[in-house]
Amino acid sequence: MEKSNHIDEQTIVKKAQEGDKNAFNQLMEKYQQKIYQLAYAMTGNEEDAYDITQNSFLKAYNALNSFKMESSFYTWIYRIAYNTSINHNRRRKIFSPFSEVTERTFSFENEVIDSLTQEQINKKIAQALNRLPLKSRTVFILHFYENQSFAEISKIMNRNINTIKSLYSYSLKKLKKIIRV
Amino acid sequence: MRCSGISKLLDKYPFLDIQEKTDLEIHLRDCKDCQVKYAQIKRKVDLLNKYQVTKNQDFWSAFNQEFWEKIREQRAPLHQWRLRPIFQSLTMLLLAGLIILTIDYFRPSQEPQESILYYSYDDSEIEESFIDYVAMNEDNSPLLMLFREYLDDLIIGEQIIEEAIPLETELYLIGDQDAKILLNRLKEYETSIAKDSPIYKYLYSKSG
Repeated sequence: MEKSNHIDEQTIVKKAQEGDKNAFNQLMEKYQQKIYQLAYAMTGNEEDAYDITQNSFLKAYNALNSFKMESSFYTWIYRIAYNTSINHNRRRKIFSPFSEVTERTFSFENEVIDSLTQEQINKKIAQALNRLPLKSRTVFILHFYENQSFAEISKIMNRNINTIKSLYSYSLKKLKKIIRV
Repeated sequence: MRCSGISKLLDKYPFLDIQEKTDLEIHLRDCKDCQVKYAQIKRKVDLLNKYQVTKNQDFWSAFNQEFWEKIREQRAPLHQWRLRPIFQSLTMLLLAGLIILTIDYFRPSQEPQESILYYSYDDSEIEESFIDYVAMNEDNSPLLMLFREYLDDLIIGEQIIEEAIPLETELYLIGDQDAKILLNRLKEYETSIAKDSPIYKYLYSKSG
């Protein structure tokens, strides 16, 4: 089933490469929510998440002909989004040197979690995730929220699979320390 | 299993295999201390699981519309502009200016001519074009691997080490042939690479 999905997607990608805008729309609709979720978790900011998602798809569209289908479109677009987020973070650090978060823990203790809106919960969790180093954060998001295998994440981030496993283990342990409920 | 073993399982929670889950359950039946630790960890994991960003159809319709508008702007053919009278006039003015400048350029001058300066771009822009290039190419040649490593090393934890590893140092390791290939591919991909940037100059000198 998964293999046939992959073949279907290859057909859609080929059509998009031939200039079929509907085909690209199909790809975009399939992945935009996931990319947005990743970007939001990486930045903790809706506007930034929107821009990163837009820029990732613009880059993908403009470079579509260089995509040789040696990896899945999913891996490719995630790799673009990951790097676009890195660029974004670099720029943010350059222009906002005082935006660093210095607290070591992130407390939910004084909050009645059930009374928070989904948006408030998302924002708080994204802020907690932001205490993690960027690479660990990415690994955590992809594995915990996107259910991506370590093998797939190693392709997206171009790192050894054992490094990915270590980063994940580190991030999970660290988050459990960071969050105080 | 002892409490120390359970502590390791709690670090891994919620990703435990069947055997680990069974070990945990058995231990928790009798160990009050670990029950408390487990309850804390579970609350945290449950909280993390509440994270869910979903946007409605209207949001994505607006997103897609903006996306295609940007693509249209990028690829707007010139003849569309020519159709509008105001742009016709402006085009004529620009052409006139260009003719005057061209005549002036070829007029003999006593002073030595300065070399033409290329339009300069911000260095971070160049690096970003490299990052994009490396991200979007599936080619796992040693050259691209090298660049990926370089880009990776720019980010150490939360700290961005801007000057820690100068790109030229990494470029130094690139062979002449690779430099030529990379330069050509960069030209294809990103036409706005600053020709006076160290990266471009280096690749250009390497590729002859």
